[in-house]
Amino acid sequence: MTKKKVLLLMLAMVMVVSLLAGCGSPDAEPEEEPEPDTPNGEEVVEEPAAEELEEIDIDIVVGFGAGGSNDLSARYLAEAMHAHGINANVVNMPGGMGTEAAYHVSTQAPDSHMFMWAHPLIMSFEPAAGDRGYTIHDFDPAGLVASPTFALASKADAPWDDMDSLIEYIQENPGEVVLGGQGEGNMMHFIAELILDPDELDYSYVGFGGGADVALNLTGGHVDLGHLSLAAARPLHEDGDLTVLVNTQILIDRDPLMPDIPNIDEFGIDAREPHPLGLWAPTGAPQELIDRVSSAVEEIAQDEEFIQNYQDIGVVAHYLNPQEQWDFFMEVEDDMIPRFVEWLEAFDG
Amino acid sequence: MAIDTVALSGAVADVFTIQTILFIMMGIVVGISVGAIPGLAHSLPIALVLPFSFILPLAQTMGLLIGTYVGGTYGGSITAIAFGTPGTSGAAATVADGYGLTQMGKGKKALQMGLYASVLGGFFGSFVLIFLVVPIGRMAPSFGPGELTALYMLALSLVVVFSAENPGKGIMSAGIGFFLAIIGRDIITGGLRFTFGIRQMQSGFPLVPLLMGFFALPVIVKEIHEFIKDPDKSGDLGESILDEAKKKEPGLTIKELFKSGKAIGIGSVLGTFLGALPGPGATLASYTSYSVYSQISRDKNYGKGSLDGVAAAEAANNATCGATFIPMLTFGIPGSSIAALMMAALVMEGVPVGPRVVVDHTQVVYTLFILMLMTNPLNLVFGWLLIPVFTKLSKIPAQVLWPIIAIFLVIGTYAYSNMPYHTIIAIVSGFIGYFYKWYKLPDGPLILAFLVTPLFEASFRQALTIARGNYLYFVSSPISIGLWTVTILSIFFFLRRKKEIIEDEE
Repeated sequence: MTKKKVLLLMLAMVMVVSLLAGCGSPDAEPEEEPEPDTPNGEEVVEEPAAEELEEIDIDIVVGFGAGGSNDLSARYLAEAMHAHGINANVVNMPGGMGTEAAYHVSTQAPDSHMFMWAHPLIMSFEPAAGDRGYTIHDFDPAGLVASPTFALASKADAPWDDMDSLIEYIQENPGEVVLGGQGEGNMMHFIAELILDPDELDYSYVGFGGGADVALNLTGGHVDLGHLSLAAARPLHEDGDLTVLVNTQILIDRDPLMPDIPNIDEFGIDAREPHPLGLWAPTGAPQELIDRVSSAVEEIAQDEEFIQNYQDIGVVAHYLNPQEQWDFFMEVEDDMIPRFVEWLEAFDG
Repeated sequence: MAIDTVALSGAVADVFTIQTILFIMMGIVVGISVGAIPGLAHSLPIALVLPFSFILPLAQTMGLLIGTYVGGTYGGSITAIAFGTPGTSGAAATVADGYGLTQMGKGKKALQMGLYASVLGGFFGSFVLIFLVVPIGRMAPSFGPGELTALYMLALSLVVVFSAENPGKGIMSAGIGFFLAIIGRDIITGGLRFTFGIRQMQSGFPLVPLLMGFFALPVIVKEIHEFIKDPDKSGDLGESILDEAKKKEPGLTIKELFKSGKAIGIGSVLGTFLGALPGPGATLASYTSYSVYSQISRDKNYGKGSLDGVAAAEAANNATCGATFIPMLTFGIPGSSIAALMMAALVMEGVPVGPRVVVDHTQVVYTLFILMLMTNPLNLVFGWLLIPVFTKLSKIPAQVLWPIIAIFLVIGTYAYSNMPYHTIIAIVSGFIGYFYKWYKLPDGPLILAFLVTPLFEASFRQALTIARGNYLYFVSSPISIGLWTVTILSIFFFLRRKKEIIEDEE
């Protein structure tokens, strides 16, 4: 009897220890077999080139908890990288809208093989809103591939059916419409006010904890409009619990997930949302490493299965090389950030 | 809901395979073991096994995840009872009575009660999930900011209940919890509150490190202190008590289990209800159930070493396991961070989770239901097998045991989000906990106030924004009116009952 107990105790301990080892070392995950069914023709052509390269290990740091679209997009990318000889380990470091994680990565050595998975919210908007301990100039771009689509949706029985009639309705019924968004005094709120300018339209904005909260309040009819991700809104739209009005995707006009939904651009409103996610290394990272990673990302962005996986989570797979990535973020810095800072000052005042 | 027999038989065939059952078992053992380690939140192993969804079939991935979740939710109670240091935040409410029982030499009874209550609560939550998923799910969106404000007010009113013996101390304790909760960035204006220029404090005082440090460190310090004072006596601290316990107390009797039936019932119902709402989660569920039952319990030891207390808290936290899937399966909206992880795993398995998942992927939903039902008996078996192991753990000499727990605490709070800052928070919280022990302040009000304050603040301010400052919004729906009525009645009831007790004593 005692022997049995000791055995059980050892079993429990071994499991715990192996678990701890698993969270500490990046080697634990690569042990998994690389995706066996990487699909069809074009992949085979690229294979020889990939095999010649030496395997490398990298960390992709996600600034949010596991399970969100930010995390899932990084995980799909990490999984696809295995076929390119890159053992990518996703590390979740939630806190402060991703800024804790970005600060951590910015302090790493250039050859640490650590990459931040970040969009303009983390890279440009948050550092502009206050001291987060880093700026975009503490990072080097290493390829951009994911562009989540956001949308404006209205509750099920709303008396309007598109952007034009919505704006008309707000003008005719000042102070009646309530828009639910994600948080207040941040980038998402700023964008919501770009979509519907509160100086011209009299409505209320309410900040909720996140996309799930917005979706619930919209479904329950507690707010009339919601600003949330297209992936979260689509199933509810199809079930008739809410109606998606427009998407605000910045890289392409129509999201293949819901091609019937017009882009905000089509209504003459300049409020396309800069959410694209890319990899960022601490400044001074070896060019060789950046080239290796970004060329893998470029090939992955062409993979049918990868594109489909991204589409299912409401993310558009669209590759920008490091230079284009830098230019895209610099355009955000030049065009949107000054307006954001001005807006924020007015908001705080 | 009509039963689709084809889908059901497909789901049964998926679940009842050697591999799936093995993965469930592995999940439960990992869950219980990790859950039992103070500081290692059980969302961690769930996040760690998430990548398996790329390589394993759906039933096996979900078996592993659900097993880890259910096992972990239960596992937290083991160290809460045996060492007074909760393994997970959901088990914090179990500490007072569970550890109390251990110190009275009834550790085995407490561990068994924790297990049985967890399993029964888990079963209740699973059955509600299976049979009432649609009606309860449809209820969730009707809780908007106005209704939630009323609900959180009701939860806050429980502070009064906790402060029964000494209202001054109770209010002080709640005040400290309130203060810790408002540290960080103002949710509306973004202004910083009490961050003292420390950048990390902008994201607030984190719950898990707070609870871990608060409960575990004072116990560690006390035990090490006692060992230094008198090495011979405390060397066999666990041993002497538990050995006696084994001779004199052969474990929980069926009669005792039935006697706590009411506590288990109340814990199950409240856990399921709070679990189905997005936000509250296992910690609030167990504290709520624990304090609600304190109003009903006639046990004089309640709060110091009562089986009822363990039963109420443990039934509630495991009942949230099934219920947390309800908003996910009715709307595709994850109600908790763990539900979000499960949803991510389903998405990676190619199942788009949304309001139509029950119709479009009936077999997947049945698979989840069967897995939920399967994990509870397996949890019972493994819990039962592991109880002697964990009772043995307390036989480890004090000079080895407590430093190990201290190390796990540091590792766990670091692993929680890979940030050294959280370990510092755990240590600071340890000082607060020591201060609480020193002055005998009740911990319930602190935890309740800390948990509910941010939720209340957000709902309250959102409601006022929606209503444009009109306070009548708070009583504009039948649900709100009902909740306010219950709040007022329960405070009234409590005050009257307290008066009666005082008169009785005189």
